[in-house]
Amino acid sequence: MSSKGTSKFKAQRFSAIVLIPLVMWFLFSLLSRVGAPYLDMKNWLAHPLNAIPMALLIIVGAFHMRIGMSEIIEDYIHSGLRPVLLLLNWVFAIGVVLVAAGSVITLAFT
Amino acid sequence: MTTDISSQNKDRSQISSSGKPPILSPHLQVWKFTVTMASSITHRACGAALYAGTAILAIWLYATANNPGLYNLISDFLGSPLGILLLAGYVWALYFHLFKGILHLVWDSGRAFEFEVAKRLSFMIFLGATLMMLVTVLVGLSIAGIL
Ligand code: HEM
Repeated sequence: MSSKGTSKFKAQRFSAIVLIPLVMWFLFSLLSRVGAPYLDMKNWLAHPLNAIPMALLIIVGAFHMRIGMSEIIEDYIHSGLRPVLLLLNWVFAIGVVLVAAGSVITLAFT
Repeated sequence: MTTDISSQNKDRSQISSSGKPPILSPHLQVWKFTVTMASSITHRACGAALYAGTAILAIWLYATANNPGLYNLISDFLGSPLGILLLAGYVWALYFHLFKGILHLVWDSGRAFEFEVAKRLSFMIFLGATLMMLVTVLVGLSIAGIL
């Protein structure tokens, strides 16, 4: 029976916990490969051990950042612009997930 | 100038019925910059920066999966001085938001609230994010053969 506010809070804390190992993996494994030749990177990312954490990072990250940004919008925007920005925030997060998921699926099957 | 302040104080004590200066509401003049305040706003700013970073990451994933031309374009940019600076900022934001986010989770469990502890931890988060960013960027540059 928790209110909208507290379930949002819980969802953000839960996603934060899931993001901890994913962000650490990302920092240590991917950033050291920035600039690698195209095929090397493509093969690396096509491996399930890399593709799965990558997809999870973006999906959970989009979930978490959508909640966080809605909080920022609610804190600072008090005009009629607020519902527009909240909607754009949703569109943006879903767009990010679709692009990322589509790319990982493409990699897995080509 | 100093006499102005003391005469103001005298005025206040005259206004107060108890003989003490009345309690004034907090005002910008009595705000003090604290490291905990700075780290709180920085956590939010880093969250917003990572929001943009995640979008760029998705585009980069798309390029890696489907578009070698775009991939090479992004790689070239990230290897340029401006690109390296941007990456370094992104890495710093990630470390900072990660460390401060963990502190938030610790706070949620009711620990580390004491002001001195919070102050020291906030300072360490700034320092830790900077050190880890330097290590990550230097290792990354040497692997990429730039350094
Ligand atoms: C993909 C990576 C991430 C992105 C894009 C991201 C984005 C954001 C954004 C936009 C906010 C809102 C800022 C605010 O309300 O002050 C936020 C808040 C938060 N983030 Fe993240 N974040 C990421 C990773 C993490 C990680 C790894 C943690 C680890 C614990 C974390 C913990 C938190 C917490 C606890 C808050 C709430 C802060 C508050 O209530 O004031 N985030 N995040």
